[in-house]
Amino acid sequence: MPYAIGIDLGTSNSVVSVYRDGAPLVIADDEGSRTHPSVVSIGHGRAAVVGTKAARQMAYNPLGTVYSAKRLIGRTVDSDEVQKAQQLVPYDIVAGPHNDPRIRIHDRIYTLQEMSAHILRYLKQLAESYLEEEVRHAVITVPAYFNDNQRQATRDSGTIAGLEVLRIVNEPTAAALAYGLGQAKNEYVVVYDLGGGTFDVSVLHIMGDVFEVVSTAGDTFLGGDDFDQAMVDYLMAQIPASAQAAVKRSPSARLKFKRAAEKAKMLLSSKDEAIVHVEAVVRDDRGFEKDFESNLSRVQYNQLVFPLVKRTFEVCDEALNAARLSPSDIAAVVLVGGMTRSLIIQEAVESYFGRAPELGVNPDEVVAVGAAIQASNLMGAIEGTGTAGSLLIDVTPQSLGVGTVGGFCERLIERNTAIPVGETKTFTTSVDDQTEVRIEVYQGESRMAVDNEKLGEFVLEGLRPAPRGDVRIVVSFDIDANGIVNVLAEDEESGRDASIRLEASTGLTDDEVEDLKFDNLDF
Amino acid sequence: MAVDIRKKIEVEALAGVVDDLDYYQLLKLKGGAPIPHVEKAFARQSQEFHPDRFFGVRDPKFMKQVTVIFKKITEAYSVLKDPELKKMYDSKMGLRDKTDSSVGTSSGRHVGKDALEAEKAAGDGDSVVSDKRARKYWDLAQIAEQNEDWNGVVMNVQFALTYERDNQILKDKLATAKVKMKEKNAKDKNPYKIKII
Repeated sequence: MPYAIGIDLGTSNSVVSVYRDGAPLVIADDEGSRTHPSVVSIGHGRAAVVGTKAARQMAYNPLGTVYSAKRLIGRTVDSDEVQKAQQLVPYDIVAGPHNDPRIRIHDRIYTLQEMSAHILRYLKQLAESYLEEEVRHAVITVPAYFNDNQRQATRDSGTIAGLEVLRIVNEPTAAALAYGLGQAKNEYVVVYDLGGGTFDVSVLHIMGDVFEVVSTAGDTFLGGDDFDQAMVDYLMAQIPASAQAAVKRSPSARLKFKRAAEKAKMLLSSKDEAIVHVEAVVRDDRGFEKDFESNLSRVQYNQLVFPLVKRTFEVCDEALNAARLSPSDIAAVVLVGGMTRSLIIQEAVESYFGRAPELGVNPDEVVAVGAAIQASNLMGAIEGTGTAGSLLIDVTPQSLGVGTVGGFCERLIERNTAIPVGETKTFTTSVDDQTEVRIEVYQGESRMAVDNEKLGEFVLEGLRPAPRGDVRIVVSFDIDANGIVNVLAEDEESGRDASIRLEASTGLTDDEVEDLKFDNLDF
Repeated sequence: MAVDIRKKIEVEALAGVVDDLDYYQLLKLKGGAPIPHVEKAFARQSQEFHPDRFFGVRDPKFMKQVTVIFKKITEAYSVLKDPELKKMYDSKMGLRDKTDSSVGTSSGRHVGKDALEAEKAAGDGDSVVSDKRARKYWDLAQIAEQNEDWNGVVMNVQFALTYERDNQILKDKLATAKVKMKEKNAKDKNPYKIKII
């Protein structure tokens, strides 16, 4: 059976794993590192450097070195997240033809899909050199709260990299699969996933080999970076007022403070106090550069980040309520993400759930391992090896709806519904002789369409001119096992199918993806 | 991967009758089975019919049938694992107040999830109106209100009022709905020109 790899394509770091001889393996690079920075550096040629080596380029080639691409992928260029990133990253973000953010490097413009594809291809190559054979199939994970556009874009990245993406799996779900594999348990498990930029919680019911996601909740604007930022704000407030504005304006000074905060955060997981030292960052009255130094105790740190920690448990409440469970019903808590190594998180998790989190699971690798297991399950089905592996039944984390008169959003599929799922809706004309109906599709929980994420829109054309209400079009909305939305319309009287691919509003067309495929390019 | 011929026949037969089966039958359970049994049955049926079990099968008709079956299984599960919906469903099926020994003999009729949820949502209406005909319009008004369809609320409350002329709750609702309707119609630009029915 050909190998299929599992890829955790992270905001800061990525991990690749393969299930081999009945056990999952995490694949290291030639320097022995098992986590690979999600960084792509492009020089004046078109060749890209990826991973640890690219991360080292950040200082030398800041305009050509792209990191945190995951924050931008599948979003619109005018979204809050892209606007925010524009202030923080040194590389140049421009608007693409689909209102999608793109990156300009040395006068050439790249899609985010290409950037992610460079990382995926690098991970594919790492696996190939380890396995000594070609790898074509992969399962890629995304945050549970990734919407349809972000999932599509991630899948397109895989295609560009020359991978057949068997499945897009939610990160917390993958983690649970890695935790519960082969244990034949019957219990409820919570996955607490605090990444760099997002926070996800999933509640799973493990029934032997069947892993059923019961509920999922998340906060896309809460992550480890916010913890660092809280520290940076606290530290910067100690700079003399006369010098503060200049420091806040300087991207390199901000970066230095961020690095110092990260370092202090790690120290405070084992020590009661950390000294924060930032070199040559403040100018005195005569214009000389001076160092910044301060002390931070664990008690102070805990006070600083307490509001953030509290928010994570509000999300836990939400997920448990949706599952009709209480913290004491949970048999195990699996931690995901580097931030969960922090002592304050582990202590807070223990006090909320009344039990210590599982420690046998590596929070950096568990997602990729789960993806590799799922890749092996699906590959086994393709090859018909007969071994019924574990089965994942996931849910859609956000409700799906259509825009209605007055700017409202009518829900068709409720969040936390098991996928694959489908729902049909009959549409009709509201004006005599109307020959066109435009339908906008949204994802989110708000009653108001504008507050939800618009996935795209489509137009049913060529309707028979008739009195209003006479023409009826049945539209089915399906969410597949990848969490990707497919739409099919049928004119009820003619029985004519109008298959529509819901063009993701920021997505690439199939032709564009084909043109970008690395296989079709000379490097 | 090639699908076992027996499996193919089983799937085709099941897909053909899936709309006629009640929720317990879909999970291969005796009527009225308790929730822990429902969970086990769901795990078992998922292993049999989840589309991932046939991942990579290049037979669109077969895959469509499997998907249809699995969707019905999840629908059945979502009702029977929910204590409130299960109770309502069991009562419709004539399974209420039976002891374990008589489990499996249903005298009632299968009712779909949508209808159960609509009834659950309209459950609050009990105390507001007493007339059976008024109740129907009051339920419709509540559904319209959930959709913020104020025209619909006004219309249905007016209908309900024809049966219970002195009902103060209905009168109040009519007054507020009329205000809302005016507000909404004023700012309504009707951008899509579609109506959802």
